[in-house]
Order: sequence, then C-alpha cells, then structure tokens
Amino acid sequence: MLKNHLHLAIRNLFKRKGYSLLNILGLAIGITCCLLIFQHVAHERSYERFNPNAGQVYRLRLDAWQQGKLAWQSATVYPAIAPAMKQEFPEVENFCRLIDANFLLSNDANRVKIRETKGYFADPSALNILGINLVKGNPASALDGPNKIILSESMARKYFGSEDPIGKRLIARDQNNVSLEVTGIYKDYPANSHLILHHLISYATLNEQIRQGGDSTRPAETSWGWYDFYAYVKLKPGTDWQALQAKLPAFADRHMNNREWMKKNNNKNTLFLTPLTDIHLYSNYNQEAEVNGNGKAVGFLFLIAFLIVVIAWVNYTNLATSRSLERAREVGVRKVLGAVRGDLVLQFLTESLLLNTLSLLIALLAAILLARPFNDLVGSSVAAPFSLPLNYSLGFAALFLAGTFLSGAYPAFVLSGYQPIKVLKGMFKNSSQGQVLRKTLIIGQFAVSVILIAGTILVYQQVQFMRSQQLGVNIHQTLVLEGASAQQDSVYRTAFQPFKTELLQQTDIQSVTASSNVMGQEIYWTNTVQRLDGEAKASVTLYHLGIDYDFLPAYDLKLAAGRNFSKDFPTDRKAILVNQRASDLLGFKNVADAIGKKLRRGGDTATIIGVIADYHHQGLQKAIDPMVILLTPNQRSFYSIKITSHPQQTIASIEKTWNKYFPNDPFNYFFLDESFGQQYKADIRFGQVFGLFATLAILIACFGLLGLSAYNVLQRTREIGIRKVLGASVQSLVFTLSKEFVYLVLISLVIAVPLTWWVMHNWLQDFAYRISIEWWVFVFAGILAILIALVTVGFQALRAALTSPVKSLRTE
Amino acid sequence: MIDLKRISKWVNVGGKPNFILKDINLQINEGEFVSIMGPSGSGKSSLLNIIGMLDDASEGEYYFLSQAVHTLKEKQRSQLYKQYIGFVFQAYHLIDELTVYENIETPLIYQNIKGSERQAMVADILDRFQIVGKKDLFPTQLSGGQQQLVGIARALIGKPKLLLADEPTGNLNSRQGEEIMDLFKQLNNEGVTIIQVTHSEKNAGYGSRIINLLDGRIDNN
Repeated sequence: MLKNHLHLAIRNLFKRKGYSLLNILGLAIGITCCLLIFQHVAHERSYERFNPNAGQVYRLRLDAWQQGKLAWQSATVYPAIAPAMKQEFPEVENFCRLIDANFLLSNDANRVKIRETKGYFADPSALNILGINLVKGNPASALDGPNKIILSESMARKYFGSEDPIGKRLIARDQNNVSLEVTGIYKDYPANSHLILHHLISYATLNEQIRQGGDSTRPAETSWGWYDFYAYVKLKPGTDWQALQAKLPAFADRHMNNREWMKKNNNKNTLFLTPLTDIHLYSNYNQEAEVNGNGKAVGFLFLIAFLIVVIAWVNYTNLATSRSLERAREVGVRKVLGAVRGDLVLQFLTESLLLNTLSLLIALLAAILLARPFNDLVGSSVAAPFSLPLNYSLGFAALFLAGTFLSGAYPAFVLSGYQPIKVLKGMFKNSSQGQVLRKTLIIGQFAVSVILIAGTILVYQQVQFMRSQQLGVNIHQTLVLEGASAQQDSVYRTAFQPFKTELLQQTDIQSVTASSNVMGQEIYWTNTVQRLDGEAKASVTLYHLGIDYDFLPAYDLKLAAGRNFSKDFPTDRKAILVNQRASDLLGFKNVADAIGKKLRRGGDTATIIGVIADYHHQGLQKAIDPMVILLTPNQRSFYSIKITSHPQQTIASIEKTWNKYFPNDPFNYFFLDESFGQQYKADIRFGQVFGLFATLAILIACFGLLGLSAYNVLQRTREIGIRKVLGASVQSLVFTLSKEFVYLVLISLVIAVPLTWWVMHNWLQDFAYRISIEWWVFVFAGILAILIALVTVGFQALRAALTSPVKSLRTE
Repeated sequence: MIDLKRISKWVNVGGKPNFILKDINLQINEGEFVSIMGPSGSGKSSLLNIIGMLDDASEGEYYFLSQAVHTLKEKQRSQLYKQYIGFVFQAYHLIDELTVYENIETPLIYQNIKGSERQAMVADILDRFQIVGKKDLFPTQLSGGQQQLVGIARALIGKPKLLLADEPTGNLNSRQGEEIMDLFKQLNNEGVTIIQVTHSEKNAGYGSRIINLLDGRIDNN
C-alpha cells in the first residue's frame, strides 16, 4: 500500500507542476536558511567546549561603583582576588591569571622579529584550566619560574622554522630586553575560544620584571587596584557556582570595600563569576580579550531560522488545504471504494513527506554551496564546509519530521473527513473553518514579513545615523603608525624628533603627532582623579589620553575653554586638559569654572589649563567617556600622520624614513577612518542579515499568496463570468478579487507594528546614541507589504478578469 | 438480504423537518434485480445511499445479511461494506490520476489483498470486460461507455454480493446504455444482487422488480 501511495504521490507531483514548484521552492528556501543558521548557531555555541574543564571554569569580573554610581564594568579584575578566593573558599580548586604580554619578539639567530599582540603572562595552572595541550615540554614546569615562554605550533614554526625550539631563546623587546627560554610547544589553541593564545610567558617573569623596575611590593600578586588581569577559577566538581557567587559580596567587603577611602567616596566593588562557556556570547564588558559574539543576535537568528521554516510549512498547509475542493472528489471516490480515514491520511502524509524530502535534498545541496557566502555575511568564523554537529543534526531531524508531519497532517485530516456523497453530489463547499485558518496563517506570515521589513529599515537607519553623525574630531586622511618600541627610552628620544621633522618636510604631510591612543580604540588607561578644591572633593575614575603638543590642532579638536598645551609654558608638564563630560563629573559649574583648578592624579597634583569640547573617541554605540588628557611628548603607542594626497607614494616614503630611524621596529600602519568604521561592521552585518531574511520571508509568503490567489480565482471563475456579463470593468474585477487579501495584510500590520516597535526599541537600547523610531517606517513597511501582496494577487486577478465570460461560464 | 424497517430521512429546513424518505419498509432477497424509479426529488438516490451505507437514516432499522447496520460502528460498517457492496455512478467517478488498471485495483488495496493476488484479479476482470488493451490509459482518454465499463469493473473487482447503481446509463448514448444493461442482466444471472436507480422504463424492464417512489414513500412495490 505504501508503494502505491508513493507512486501516486510522485504522479501528483508532476501533474501539478506549478503547484509543486511553489511548494518545493518555498520549503527548500526555508530549510536552507534553517540549516545554515543552525550551523552558525552551533558554531557560536561551541565556544570553549573543546576544553575538558569547561564546565568547572569561571572567569571573574568586576563592577566598580564610585560616588554611588556604576563607574565601569570590566572583564578583568585585580590580581590578588583569585589567590584569596582559593584560600578562603574550599570549593575553589585552582585559579589562573592572564595579563597582556604583547612585545616585539625576536629570534636574532634567524633574524625574525614580529610585534606579537596575542600573548599573555600566565600562571602555570593556565595549562590545565584553559585546556592547553603541550606537544613538547613538561607541563608541570613549562611556566614555572621566570623568563620562560611557551609557543603555539604556528608561532614555533614562524620563529624557528623546522628547528626544535625547546631550550632556545627569544628576546622580548620592551623598554628593557628580556631573554626568554622556550620551554614548551602547544597545539594551536582552537579558534572557538574567547582567547587567542599565540604565546604564554611565565607569570614569574612579570613579577621579576616589576621587581627589577624598582617596585618590591609584588603588585602582580598583591594588588587590589590594578584591574588588568583576567582571572579564572576552577571549581571542584559538583559546586553550585551561583551559591559561590552569592558569597562574593561579603568577600569583596572583607578585602576591598571596607577601606577608609573607598567608604569615604561611596565606592564599592562587586564581583561576579561568568561560566567559561558563556563568555563568548554573553560577556561584553570593558577589556574583553577579543571581540565577543552577540548572544542576542545569535538567539535572534535562531528564532528567524524557526520563523522562516515555519512560514514555509504554513504555506504548504495553506496551499494543500486550499486545493481540497479539487481533491475532494477523489477522496469521495476512494471512500466509496472502501478507503477508511486512516488510509487517506496515510496517503496525504506520504505526499507531504515526498515533497518535504525533495525540498530537503535541494536545501542540503544549497546549504553546501552557500555555506561560505553565508558565513561571510553573518561574520561567522566557521571555515569548514557545511556540517552540523550531531546534536544539532538530531535536533534538525526532529524539527524536520515534526514540521513535515504537522504541515501534512492538517490537510490530511481535513480532506479525509469529507462525506463521500456530499462531495460526489457536488454539494460540497469549502468549510468556513478552513477559511479562517487560512486567513490566520496569511496574516501571521505577513506580520513576520512586516516586522522584518521595518526591522531592516530601522537597523539601516541606525547605522546611517552613527556614520553620519559629527564626531567632533576629524579622522579623515589620517594614517596611523604603530609606535616604535624596540629602543631604549634615551635612544628613542633622540630618534623621534628628527623622524618627525624629516616627515614634515614632505609636501604631502600636514602634521605628525604622537599619542597613547587613537579614535576608534578602547581606552584601557584609567586612573582615579580627585578635586583638591571645593566642598565635594569628588574622586572619580577618568579615561586617560596622552598626547603631544600637536595632537589637538592635527585632529581639529575644539577647546571649550582655556588653552592647549604649549612649549611656551614649561609648567605644562604638570598641566592637564579634561573634556566637558569630565568637567561635569568633577562637579564644576561650567567649563570656565574648571580652568586653573587643581586635581590630584596618581600621587601628583595637576592644574586644568583647558577643557576640550566632547568628541566621540569611539563609535556611537558607546557614550562619551569622561577623559583627562595629559602631555606626554614621548608617547610612543601611535603616530598619527595627516596626509593631503598621493597616499601610496606618501606611505612608501614614510616607510623609508621609518626604516632609517627605527630599524628594529616593523612598519605597521592603518587608515584611521577605515579602522574607525570597523566598529560599525557588526551592526552593518546585522542589517544585511536582517535584510536578507526579510527578503526571503517575503518571497516565501508571496509563494503562498500566489498559490492561494490562483486558487481563489479558479474557485470564483463563474462569479467573475457573471459579473462581466453584468458589465463589470476589468479594474473593478481586479479590485473585487484582490481586496480580501489586502484586508488580511492590513490586519497583519496591526499585529506587526507594536511587535516591531517593542523588538527594535529593545535593540536600540544597546546604542548610547540612537535614532528615535519614526511612524513613517511602519507606513513604508506596510505599503511595501501591501504592494507586494497586490502585485502577487493582482496578476492572477487580472488574468481572470481578462478571460472571456463565455469561457468562464462554460466551466459550470 | 436487505431488510429496511420504518426508515425515514429528513433534513431541517428553517427549523422544520423536511422529509426525504418517510416510513420505508422494504425487503430485498439475494439474487434479485431491483429497479427504483420515481420523479426527481422522490428520494431514489437517498434510499440507494442508505442501502449502500454511504448515508445514515434519521430513523428506523436497517438489517444487511441479518446484521443491524444502524447499530454498527463506523469501522465495522466499513468492513461490511468493503466486503459485500459495489457502487456504480452516473458520472463514473473514476480517479483521473490513476490508470484504468490502477482504478480497478484500488478497492483491493483497501481490502489489504496481496499484490500478486491483486494482479491476478485485475487481469481476470480486464480480460472479462475486454479492456486489456486500455489498462494503461487514463480515464480522460476513454469514451463515456468505456469509462462506465471501467467503473463497473472496479465495482465488481471485490466480488460483491450487492451491486448498487445510481443511473448507470444516464450519461451514455442508447447503444452504450444497452450494453451496460445487458452486462447487468448477465451479472444478475451469475448471482449478483443488483439495485439500480433509473428514470428509464426500458432499463427498469431488465430487472425482476420495480419500486416506485413518490415524495419519499413507496408508491407501489
């Protein structure tokens, strides 16, 4: 019997080619989206799972409160916290800390020197806690003791080629040169981690360097204020981490918040644990090691995957039930021939299964072909061809079977329930119940489409808004060089001035200025600053920027009050600038009031000589931070060079000059406006993804509408004929036939508008500077949806209206 | 074989019952060839549908081969129906998507008869009706008479004891009609009980008994 059903299903498929094509195409698109999104989501959720300890490891993070207000939230903490926790909480099995160790590394023997940016000082326990697999070297001692470094296999190849690096030495060039012994090689750390680990240097090296620098307090072990350390704790198996987190406020009070100056300033630290596996998707604080994923966006995509495939199945159900009239006679005959309901249900389900299986095959092929462009679009780092992990495959299989069954079951039960004599005697009418269901389904589809259209417009508007906003700073035509760090301070001072002078002699170069940071980069340099006058004596954390004399004019930064640093005032070494936001935070009545006031900053007293107008140091997602600007003419992090024309030639000549003065440093540069624009990449991408799925959702919904309206027209052939005989014009007929669908789209608008407003309002909360949602967006989305529906339906209606009435009446 | 006791059928129109059949008492024995006649709207088809178990009576008792049909559940009724009854329609009602062969085979599928056996049975009947050459054609490729022949073949494939025909020659020309009626006569001689609804005195003449219906009642029997 099954063979028979299958045979019949195949024949039906070919008999109604148009109908089958609409169905298969719609379903294939839906399933393809679903598969591709599943792959992306599976990848995003696979982070850290390679680490056998992942379930037991938590990262510490910190909220800092100042003056009773939340001052910052960081992914990093103080180095003394984790050891104290291990001592006081028996559930903490072990801990490890990481802090940036980015140097110019060189292997002088092989003449390889590269500025490394993905390395850390790390406790020996990091190997176990972070799941790092040594392929060479002794895990017990590789990071134990000062001046040791372990490398990833790629790094080892880069510096040592085919030699065995164990026991060889690399030089880390900083202010001082440190010679490091290679004590281990590890398998390249997997890409699906929140950390990129190219090399690890023993933590003892950091302590040793600080001691040699003249600080004997061992701050990297004892500090409760230096908040640049990633700290991970491994809990004993079976520990309830939330119970441990509940004990942290008391812990923080004991060690940090009870201090006199903390209390006086109404300051407070709050500690939290983040499960290792949550970091990539749900952690987005200051000083994250890498740009993390966006759990919201991933969840949103996941939802879209479901919506699109459900829309496709809804279409199937809709089209299948709308064809019930056509198939009712067959059902009647079969019943007369002895079919019971079960036989018929099985027959229709077989058809549904066949159609879905065909769609699935097409979708699988499409997924394999489209995996790469899709991953580029959503910014997924999945490199491999299309594949799904087992649990997602099973999940998808379950979804597919459920969808196939449910979408097939409704028409199957409706059709198989017909009374044979009614059907065969022509007394049959489509039930009004079915009509209501079909209408509801169309409304649902169009509501989703409208949400996606309006969402796309709003995302696009927000991105445009951010890009077009005045930043308060001129970042165009700016070439930024990464600073030279290979030389001793004294040598550097004698090299930089001539370098700058020589550059400025070129006609295409307008200005050269050095600073600790440039626009578009997060500022990590913060410190507490306290007013020395007035009644408030407020102590606040300000973001620090070190610049030279030429920085403000080079970037067209405006002063709201006071003056820029000047060589004419030798006292400017003790002077500072603040931005308006900092001036407000410090409690000055207005910008003029701040001029000449004294502040305590890092043990020094400094005088405010100017207040600069607020500018956007980072993208408009972020609020403007309160900043203090210091004069540090020997700052060597970044050199900003304003050029007027001929970028290629200019860069070439700059490189020549660079190699003359800084032969030991690599020449790395980027264009500031491009690098600034990178901040919007994720949002632009989000908009594109939104747009793509909006298009697809509408396309699938249109397939459904096309099928339904074609059927609707067929059913009303006689009515159309009669109306024409009575003198109806083509326009009025098209109107009659289309208006029902337009009503449905209108109802879907009513549902979609508040939903869209709510969703997009939430999304916009992530941006410090955002657009307000305008009413016309909804009108536009609505008109677009209605137009699309009209074109789809109108085409069918027009064709019916143009048919000769003699023809349409003869069919009865 | 068939025993109808006080069978009535009505539909409610505007809250009042509108009788289609009223108080029908009828016995039909095995081997009879009965023609039901009467003007349009007299309830002929309704009576046939009730006898064929396609429709329920509103009231009354129906015994088929001594089984009380009016008390049977859907499934049992379907079982009984599949085994003993074949139906022929005025509009043939062949399934357009199926070939002649497959149309005839369909009832056997629903009776869960094995494939090899089905093949033999269908081949048999194709042979008997001399339509072997048409077995791979679709209904739309056949003339009306041929279609009805297929319809009858399909009704007979399960070897029913009772053949019900609702104006079987209504859509055919007179020569085709005669052929079909001759076939019915022959089937009846082989022992199949036949009940047909017809407008034609001539067709009714092929039968052994005529039941006249008027306004839902048996006029003469």
